[in-house]
Amino acid sequence: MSKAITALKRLWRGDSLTPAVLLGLLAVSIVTVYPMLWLAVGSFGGEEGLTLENYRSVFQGLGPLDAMKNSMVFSGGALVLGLAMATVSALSTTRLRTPFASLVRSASIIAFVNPPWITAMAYAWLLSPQAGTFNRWTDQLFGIKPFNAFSMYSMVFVAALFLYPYLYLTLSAALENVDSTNEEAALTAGATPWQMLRRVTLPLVTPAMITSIVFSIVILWESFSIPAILGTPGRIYVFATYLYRLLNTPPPDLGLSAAIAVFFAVTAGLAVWVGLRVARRHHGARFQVIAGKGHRTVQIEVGWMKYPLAAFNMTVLAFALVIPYVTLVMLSLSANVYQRFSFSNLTLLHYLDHLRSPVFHEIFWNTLQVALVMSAATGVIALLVAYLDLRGRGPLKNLLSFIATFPIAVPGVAFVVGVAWAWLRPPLVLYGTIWIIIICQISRFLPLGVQHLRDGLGQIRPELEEAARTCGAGTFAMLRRITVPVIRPVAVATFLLLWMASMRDLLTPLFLGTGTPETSTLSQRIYFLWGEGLTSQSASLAVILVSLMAVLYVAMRIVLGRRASKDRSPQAQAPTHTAAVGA
Amino acid sequence: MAEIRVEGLTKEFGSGARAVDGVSLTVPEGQIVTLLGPSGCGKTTILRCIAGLETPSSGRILIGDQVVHDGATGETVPVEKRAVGMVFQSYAIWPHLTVFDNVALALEFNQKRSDDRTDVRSRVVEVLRSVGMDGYQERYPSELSGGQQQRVVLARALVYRPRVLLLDEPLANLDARLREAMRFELRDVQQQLGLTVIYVTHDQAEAMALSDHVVVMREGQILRQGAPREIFADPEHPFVADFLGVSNRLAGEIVAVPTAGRVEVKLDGTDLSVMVKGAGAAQQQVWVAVRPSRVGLYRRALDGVSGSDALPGRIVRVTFLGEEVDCQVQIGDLMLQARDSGECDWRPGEEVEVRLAPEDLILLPRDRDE
Repeated sequence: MSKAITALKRLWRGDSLTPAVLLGLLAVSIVTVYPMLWLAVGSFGGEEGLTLENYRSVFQGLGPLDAMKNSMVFSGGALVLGLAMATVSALSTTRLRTPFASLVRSASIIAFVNPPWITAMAYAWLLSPQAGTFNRWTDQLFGIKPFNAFSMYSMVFVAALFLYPYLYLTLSAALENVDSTNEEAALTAGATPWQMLRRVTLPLVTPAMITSIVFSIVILWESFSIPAILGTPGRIYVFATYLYRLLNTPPPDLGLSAAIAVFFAVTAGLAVWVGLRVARRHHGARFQVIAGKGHRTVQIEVGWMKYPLAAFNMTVLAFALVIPYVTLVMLSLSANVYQRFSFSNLTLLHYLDHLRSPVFHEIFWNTLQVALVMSAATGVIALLVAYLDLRGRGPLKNLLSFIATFPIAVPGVAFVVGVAWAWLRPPLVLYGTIWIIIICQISRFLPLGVQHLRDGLGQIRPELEEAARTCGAGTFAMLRRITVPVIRPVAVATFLLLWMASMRDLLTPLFLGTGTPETSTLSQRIYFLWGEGLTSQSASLAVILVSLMAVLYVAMRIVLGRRASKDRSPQAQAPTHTAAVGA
Repeated sequence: MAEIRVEGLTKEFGSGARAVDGVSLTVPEGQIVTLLGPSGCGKTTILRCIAGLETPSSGRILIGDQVVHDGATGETVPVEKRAVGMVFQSYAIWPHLTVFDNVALALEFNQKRSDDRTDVRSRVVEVLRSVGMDGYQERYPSELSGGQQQRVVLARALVYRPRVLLLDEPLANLDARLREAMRFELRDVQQQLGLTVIYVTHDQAEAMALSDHVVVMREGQILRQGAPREIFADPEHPFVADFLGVSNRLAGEIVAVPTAGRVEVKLDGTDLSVMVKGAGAAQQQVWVAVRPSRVGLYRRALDGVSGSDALPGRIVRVTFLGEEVDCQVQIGDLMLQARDSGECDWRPGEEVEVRLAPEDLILLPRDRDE
């Protein structure tokens, strides 16, 4: 008997993290696995017991198939266009000597956190078929009105602009990580700079490029706000907007929408699986790329070509950032949006209206509350998962990492439908409260938190903790005095990234809120006002939200920059793949 | 300070591979014992088991009179209560703290348990002075050179007066010149404080320079242990000989035992034989090993070799190393490496006389299938 107890004790001591893993599994499966189970159950649910009826309807109706076709055209088009623009910019700012390279870099980071629905709203206004600004200009100049905001072309264009900063940042990071001695070896072997670029540099960044493409497909496949703002008025539905319409047309067909969501999720999962398999084949090459220590990169002189390249980069950023924001600010300040620009038409009335409105106050605090609670909870869970993933052993911690990160491959809309199914019924009825939005955001942004923290924690060698143990620190003292302080910069950055993801998230409050002020957030309110045609009111609220995000971003830079560069704790990483998903 | 005793230590990892396989060793109080071996031989695992960072599969570990791990009963003392000092190969210097705070925090971690409330500041300054790092208290680790970081982690491991000090390849990340200087400093600190030290390394020169006792390991087992000179003179095992830089190893068979303590060995693939100091029986398969510096090269007279212990050879390649020249010498089908003074002007193709003194040759056992 005592032998058995000793053996049990030893097993427990052999991996003292086991209880923490079990706790993590329980907490994470409630927020991520539970909704997926209900989604699956819901899709097979019928009048009497389980049925395949819902799936049959998916393939019978014209709507779902049409939506799938549109989704494919939309994703494919935006991917090709976005990738082409990002590749040119990434190459020209890292490997070719072009002016304004650092400006392109910092502007891209801003564009990266920019909510996509802001860009979509701006172009819906600018490219509007009749009264749109661009059409008025061409009408005056050439007597034609060629632009139509509510078409597949403009959806693809705006989605490509949205994708551009993500692809640019990941590609240029990969290009900068290429050990330049590889390239110098090519040059000394007699390659011309262009041959070097084509035969050495680009093949070395191929694995990183494939990973980025896989995530891009997920991002586009699940994209909701751009097709909602630009596609829906022209009756162009993709998966996400089709589901939204289905759920908002009374009586909502929950079974069919669950089945579509499952189909939607499976196709996205399939894309990720195939993509990552392809990427894994390049894994050997991938480690070579990261081996570079000296970050001195070879830059090619391109002569007069540098001017058109710089102009191209500036133009893309103007379309992605400057034009949408100028438009938005102008709309928010106009007394009458249909008048030509004049100083007498400028007013702060829309802002004052918001500030005076009790509804605004309620929604404003809701937004902060959701962001704060969600970021804190997600941060803590993600820290636990990332820590266990790096320090733990055995299959249980792998399972934990998997259930914490799989939502990244589940399209947001499908996930949200599952969440609605799960929390609509006992044991926990959260539907109609702000908590369902918080819970849903926790599960949707958990992969972002886990990946970001895992990257940061990965730089901390286990010896730092072991040294504390040999010096006489118990587990708690070690965590408090060594682990937590060392990861603090990464943890702070993760928290703020989650905060911003929460503030710009439109999908969750839109699907799960009931429309009353108690369950609304700013992003949802902006979308609602826009849909009502209250353009200036919507634009001014968007400016308020973005200013809030900007203040936060500056605060983040200050907090992270304040710590002396002497402290060599790992710093926040470049934005990661997961940060772009779920907008 | 205290003695360390390890008895029948075995560590198996998940896959069933034995990183350490039944190792027993004793580190007397106030001595340095080196665990020497190639990477993956289990030396670091032994160190981590003594520290308490790994749990042994079986065996017993004692520090002083205290049993810190007993595989039979499963009793184990957690790392933080073992009061050992450890220096890691990667230094593991805490990056968010200054030099002073790195050392002071270690002291604080340890004092929570004992009631020894010495003045933290004076104790930290004193230990930093003893490693030559006073005046750097407010620096951050990133502002220090590798050697300075090394001193800080040493101070951190010493500040709470540990019972034993465990060093895991502490000099591996330093450049060659600094490594040599730190060797002497470590030895000095150890002597002054009378520390009991286990030192893990794969560098035989480091092991020789530092240790009272060397333990050579391979694949989780101890092959040979003893005082540095003793092991160097008589490795007893082909692997140990190779690892200690005895690069010439010739296969042969004992053909005669002319006197006690001498054997005559016929070298395989030749009709040459040499006299070797050692004991054995006729027809026994053996290795004859010799250090390059003990291979005597002499100019050869035209009429042949001059004595019975001289073999005819021809110089194949000469590498000038400054202090010394390294010569590749061919004797029949055999190749020998020889070291001679750098002033000797040997030329490739030169016919020479190779003399191997019986007391310079090392007799090693050889299995038939080797």
